[in-house]
Amino acid sequence: MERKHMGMNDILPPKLIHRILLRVPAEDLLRLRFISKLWHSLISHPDFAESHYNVISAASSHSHFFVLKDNTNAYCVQLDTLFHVPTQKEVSLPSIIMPRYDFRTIGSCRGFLLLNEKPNFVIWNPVTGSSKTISYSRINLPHNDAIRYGFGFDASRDDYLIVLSWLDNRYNQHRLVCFSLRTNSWINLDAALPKSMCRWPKQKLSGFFLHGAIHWLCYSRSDEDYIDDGILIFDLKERSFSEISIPKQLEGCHPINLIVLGGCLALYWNDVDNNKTKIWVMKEYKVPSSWILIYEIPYGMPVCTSNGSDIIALNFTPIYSKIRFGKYNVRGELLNHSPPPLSPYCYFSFSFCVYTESLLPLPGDIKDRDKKKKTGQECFEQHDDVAKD
Amino acid sequence: MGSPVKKIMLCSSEKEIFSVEEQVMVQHSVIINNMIEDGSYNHEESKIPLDCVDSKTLKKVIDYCTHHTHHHNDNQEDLEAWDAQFLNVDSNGLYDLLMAANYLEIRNLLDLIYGTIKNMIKGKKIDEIRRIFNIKDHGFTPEEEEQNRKEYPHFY
Repeated sequence: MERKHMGMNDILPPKLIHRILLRVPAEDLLRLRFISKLWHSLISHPDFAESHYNVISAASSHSHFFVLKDNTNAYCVQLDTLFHVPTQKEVSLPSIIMPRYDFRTIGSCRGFLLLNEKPNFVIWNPVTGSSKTISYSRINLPHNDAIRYGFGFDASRDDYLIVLSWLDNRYNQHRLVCFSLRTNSWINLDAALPKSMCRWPKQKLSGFFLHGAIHWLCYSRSDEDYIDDGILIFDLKERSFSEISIPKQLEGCHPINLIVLGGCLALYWNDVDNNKTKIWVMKEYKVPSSWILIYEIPYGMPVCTSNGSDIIALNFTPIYSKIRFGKYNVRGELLNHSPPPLSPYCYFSFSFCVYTESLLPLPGDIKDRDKKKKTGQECFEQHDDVAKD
Repeated sequence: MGSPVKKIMLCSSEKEIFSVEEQVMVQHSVIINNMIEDGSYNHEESKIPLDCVDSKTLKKVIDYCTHHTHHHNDNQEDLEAWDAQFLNVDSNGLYDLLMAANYLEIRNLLDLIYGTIKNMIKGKKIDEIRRIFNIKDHGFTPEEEEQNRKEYPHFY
């Protein structure tokens, strides 16, 4: 064939096409499967979703903001391109969910969102639509809502875990249970809390997943709390607790919140008096001396980093329905504003989270796929660099 | 001034010889860096044969490495503008650059090209992507293609 008549598939070796596809957002890949048989086999390869997630999450410019719109729909906003092309996509919630007043998002992990609607959890990948409902009606949870929630991935066991931890007032005992998606069952765990953190204030608390562990902020709101300020860590592989301290300068400040920014733990303090939000980042994981005050932005809520060092935050206006995103540099200068208002977020205050899109399946989906593979319904072309990338 | 600038010889698929500052290629190409480090390149006699890189592409690759060596202190915006102009080539030119950058292991050029192709794909429908990248033989049977179009009309 003459060169000028040849197309991409004729010229480029499959391993280079594979590397291009690893950089394309997950949502586009659903469509790209139908470009050609070759692309289909590359994207459907059992290792592709994992390699793709690793490439995309390392680039850290693929964060999405998830927020409920109403009882059946949610918005997914791609944060990085938001300021050039507002990409606000409406998605239908899994039909099992009937959001009520107590419906909320708990967290995200590897492209999955964990939603809570008493007495069920729903794990859901908004890109692939894959979802699973987990009932916790048989777990004797306290009614006072002093429960810590966590959602994460244990790479050593290739398992997703939902972690619940609370203080059982009747016996004055700490309880820890966890749901394993791989075994599809709840397990009671026995892990001692750090002494200083045996009690905590009565508040619903969602943890953040990072480096194989769930992280919760513990800080005292009043003298009655009897807790030390710090970040409580539950390691999903070791199944044990540990703690790290927060910057000295933040002790006694409130309200402070924990988030993950650019792959690092971060704390922000809404300094209401000065109408400022100060953001501290722990540059080296578990090294308290690496806490550094990086950003000072107008009162708001940081959601993710962009282009390495810029930060995207939600600006609050007096009315919750008029929120918009702002992008700031390290000097706290406003670079960009999203066109206001994005939409009326009626459920806003308790139902959003930040996630990275992925094509990853749930452990149960993998089993189904293995079955298919055995019966020869799917064939994959093996490319030696698939696992390496 | 100090000693004269050290040069190395690169030989394209058409056997055309290009003389380039050693430092420029060592800084950007993992492969050439390894050849210089392990002593397999002899400055008196050797030339590095690049049998799968044609002269036109090799010239562009050298341009890229030279610019990024001498202008790495420029501000980000200027560098990005230069890169955009540099990659203003047809899709065949882009594939050639990609394969050359892959062969020579020039990481930043690879990232730049992957990113450019990604942006050409993002958000576009199947028919448009097939046209841009000249993918005529998609390999699906007419029945499969029809089935896919029926099942996912919004993809096309």
